Amino acid sequence: MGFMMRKFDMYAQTTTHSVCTLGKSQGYYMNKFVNRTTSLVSAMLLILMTVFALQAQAAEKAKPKPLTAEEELKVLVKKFSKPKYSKKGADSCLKCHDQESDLDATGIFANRHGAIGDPEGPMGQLQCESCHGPLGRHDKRPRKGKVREPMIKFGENSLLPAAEQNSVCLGCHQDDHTRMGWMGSEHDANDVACVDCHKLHVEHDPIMTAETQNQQCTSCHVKQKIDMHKRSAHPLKDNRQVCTDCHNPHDSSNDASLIAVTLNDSCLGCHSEKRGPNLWEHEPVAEDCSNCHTPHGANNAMLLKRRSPQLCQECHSSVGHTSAAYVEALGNKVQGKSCLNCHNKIHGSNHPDGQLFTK
Amino acid sequence: MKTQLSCITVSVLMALQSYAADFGIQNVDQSKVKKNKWKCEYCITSEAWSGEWSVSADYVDKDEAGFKNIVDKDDGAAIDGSVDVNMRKSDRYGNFYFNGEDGEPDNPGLAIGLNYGFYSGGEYSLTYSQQSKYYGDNGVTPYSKSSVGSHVLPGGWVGNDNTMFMPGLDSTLSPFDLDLERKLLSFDYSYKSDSPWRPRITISQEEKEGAKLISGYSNYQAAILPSDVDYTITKLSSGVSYSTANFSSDFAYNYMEFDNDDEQVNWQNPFTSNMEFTSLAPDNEFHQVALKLRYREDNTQYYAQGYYSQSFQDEHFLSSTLVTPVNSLDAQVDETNIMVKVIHNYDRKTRLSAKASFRERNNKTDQYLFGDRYNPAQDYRNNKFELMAQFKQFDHFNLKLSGELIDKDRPDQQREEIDERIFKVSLKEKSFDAFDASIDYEYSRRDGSNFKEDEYALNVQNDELRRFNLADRKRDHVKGWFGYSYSEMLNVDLNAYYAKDDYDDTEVGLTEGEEQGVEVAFSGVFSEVEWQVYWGKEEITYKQGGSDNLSSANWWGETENDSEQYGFNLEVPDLIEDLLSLALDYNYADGQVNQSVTQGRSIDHSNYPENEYEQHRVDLHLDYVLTETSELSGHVIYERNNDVDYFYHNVDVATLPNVLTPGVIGNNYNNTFVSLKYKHKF
Repeated sequence: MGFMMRKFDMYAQTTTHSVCTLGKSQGYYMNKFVNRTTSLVSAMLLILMTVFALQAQAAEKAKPKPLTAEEELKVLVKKFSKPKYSKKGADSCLKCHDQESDLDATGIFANRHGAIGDPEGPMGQLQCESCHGPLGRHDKRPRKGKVREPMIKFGENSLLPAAEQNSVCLGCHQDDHTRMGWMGSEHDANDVACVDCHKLHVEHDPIMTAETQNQQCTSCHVKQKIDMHKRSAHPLKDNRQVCTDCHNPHDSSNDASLIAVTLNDSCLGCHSEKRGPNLWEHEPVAEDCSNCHTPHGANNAMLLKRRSPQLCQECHSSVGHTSAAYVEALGNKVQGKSCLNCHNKIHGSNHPDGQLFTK
Repeated sequence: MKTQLSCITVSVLMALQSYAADFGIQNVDQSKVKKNKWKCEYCITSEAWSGEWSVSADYVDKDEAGFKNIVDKDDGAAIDGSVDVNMRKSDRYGNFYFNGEDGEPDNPGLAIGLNYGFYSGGEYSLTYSQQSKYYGDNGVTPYSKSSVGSHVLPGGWVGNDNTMFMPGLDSTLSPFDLDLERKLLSFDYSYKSDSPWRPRITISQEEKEGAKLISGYSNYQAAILPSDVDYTITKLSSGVSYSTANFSSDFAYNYMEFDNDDEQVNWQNPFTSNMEFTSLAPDNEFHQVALKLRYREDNTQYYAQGYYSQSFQDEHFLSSTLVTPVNSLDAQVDETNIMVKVIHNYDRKTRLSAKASFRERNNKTDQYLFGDRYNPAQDYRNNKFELMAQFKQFDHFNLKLSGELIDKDRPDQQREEIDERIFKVSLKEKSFDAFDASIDYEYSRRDGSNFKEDEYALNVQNDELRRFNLADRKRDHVKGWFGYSYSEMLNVDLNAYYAKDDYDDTEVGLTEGEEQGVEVAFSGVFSEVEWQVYWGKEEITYKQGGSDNLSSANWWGETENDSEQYGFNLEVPDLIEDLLSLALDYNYADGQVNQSVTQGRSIDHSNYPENEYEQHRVDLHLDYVLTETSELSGHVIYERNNDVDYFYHNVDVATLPNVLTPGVIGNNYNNTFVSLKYKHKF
């Protein structure tokens, strides 16, 4: 920068010196010439500006009106019914959507969807047009006043409803045993599009990656976000466990979209020491773990909904020491104000003397 | 699925105007596409190898148990690394990874995996991983393990009926860790091709080792001590799917075996000095078969699934004071679940569905008399019916209505039958581009909780008592969401929920539950800097009544659970253009439990302490690009955690006369983790 300034200064000095060396008459004509030239340039600039302004106004008027959602859907259905696929497949698309483009599509080749050897994958079938529909006239310059012919788009920029976007993905992905129940599932019924969670033109789909899945799910499921930061929680906040360890987001046939058919089956998959069947069963344990525990997090130890003895006294408040409102910490009834200090086998006991879950 | 169908005609596609358009590739006649001239310059057609390796130097200033749940690492410095290698060919792929135990949050423990598969054919995967969970490291106990594995007290122990007068207790206490480590070895195989049959199988074995607290109980006295955990869990999950154009099915068989290396804990009673025995979880087996069927016809889908499972257990009983009629229990519980669902799209804006399900638990274990009691069978039968209608034809909102009827029958409990009716309405706004909103309301009524007088009860029952899971209940639940997008720079999300359970017929037991929560988040992108600020709060309140005179309620309790969370995230991709990126996260979370119990006695002992939990956490990531293939990453985690009493014993070892406790186990620390990683891609 300093070098540039010095060059400019030298030029300025030279120019000043040149003017100073001119004679009087020469200077007069020179000034007159300069004034005329300035006027001429100014006039031309004014004309040009006016022309540009008029052109801009005309261009604004001629700017093609974007299609409405209904119009775009109609065009796409028509394109799909009389398909005109490209001459060169993906290479036709990547002439524009290459790495230099704002709509770079080449990320797909870093994941399985970009594998040309996968006969069931998009690249193994109709390449880009497997998902985005037939090219048609999309690569042609639009006629004056018309927008470029649309392709099937996904995500925030798409005008298509979630059901239509999802029909593309389900064309290949609905026969899998984990997705058979997609239709009518919670996410389907709430118009969640596949691409609301999945990213396809990247190497690692964030929702399929342990480090990012929980964050993405809890951006909508905020109660679970608060729960997983509580003092007693499954290790979700540090991504040691992910939502899909227990839930199937593509099928809500089971309660709470669980993978296992019942909540207890889901819990016992890891906590299998509590399955029994024990000699002495505790009714709420046999029926539903969520009678006492909350699955995502709690302020009480061991994800308990409430602390002992209040939790226990919601059912055992009938006779004997269970019916006492409170006893002294030094008393011999509710020892240390926790029933579990003595009734430790609360999930069931296999000891003949364990009918009160103490052994 | 590769399809060469010439199925969809123009007429069907035009019909899509009335039903949701289906742009699936199965509707395309690919034979008419001239693919012989197609190439794909970007596609991988020959063998290609890629991957990365890393070396990291880490430092942890303290190895507090709670912090080890985030950074699974001992105090001090260490060096570790990872390797990830990928192979791709036109028809197959493979991956090998190794993560050392560098303890970073993204890499919690040792993990090794090998994956190899064909795009059309089999896929094989063999993995091994370790994961730990830490509960606390500041419990204390006078117990030690003898050569035969018994928990014994120090030599010369003098027992006493009161822990405060045990002469050798204070001088013999030593600390112990409460943690569990899981080691999982797993093999997966699946096969996928253009065949309609797709088999799969997963076999895994998990070792769970560590220590957990158990209570040794004898004659109204208890000693809480750390007991070894040594479990082995073996699982087999297999299945085969069969699909055609309109029909899909899946048959699965699942097996699980739980093996506890210890069937009992032998412990020396500190009050009497005698040896005692406490049973541990018995070994068990679980078998399950499952069938799913789906058939689609025009705009209707029929879906059915059925599960049948059996659980077994025949562990020998420990010696007992009772005369036992058998030496072990041939315990068996069968469970049946059946569900059928029909979904019909009347047109592209109206959907109707009906669902019915049946669930039964059948304890087939023989019943014997042990002392004065038979071993109970806690069976139940549930029936559920659900109707749902979804309407999208309105200009300003979508509407969803549903109703459920649930009938529960518990033949072996004092309250045998309840029925519940649930009604839900959901509205989703669709008028405005800049903002979205939805609101869901649920009302339910549970009735029919009648006392079954002929059912055996251990104790005299109070007729006023209602167990909360069986009691009549009225529930209102509403949740709402509002999202506003001002521009790319500013988005606002507001979520709120409120629920109230009113056990209106209950006088003794849980009488009311109320829950409310809210979260507000602001986010956006400003000059390529992504930011988010959020705040959330939740309050849960429970009220209950109790009676110590077998009659009306004469004491009342209230529990308040409050939680709060706030923080921010910041991502700067180009702190130095194309060289340095930064991500900074801060999160604060706290929780309080306040309890009050009142009975109006002259001496009020309702001194339940307030339980508080508080945590600040800062995560800082810095990534510096060295070359096109190498990167230097820095990661700092700071956590301030204050959780004084996790297990709520809240009493020292010798405070309760009849209970020997492990002391106050909490996690109160300031910990920092620093990591520097060199990563190279190839």
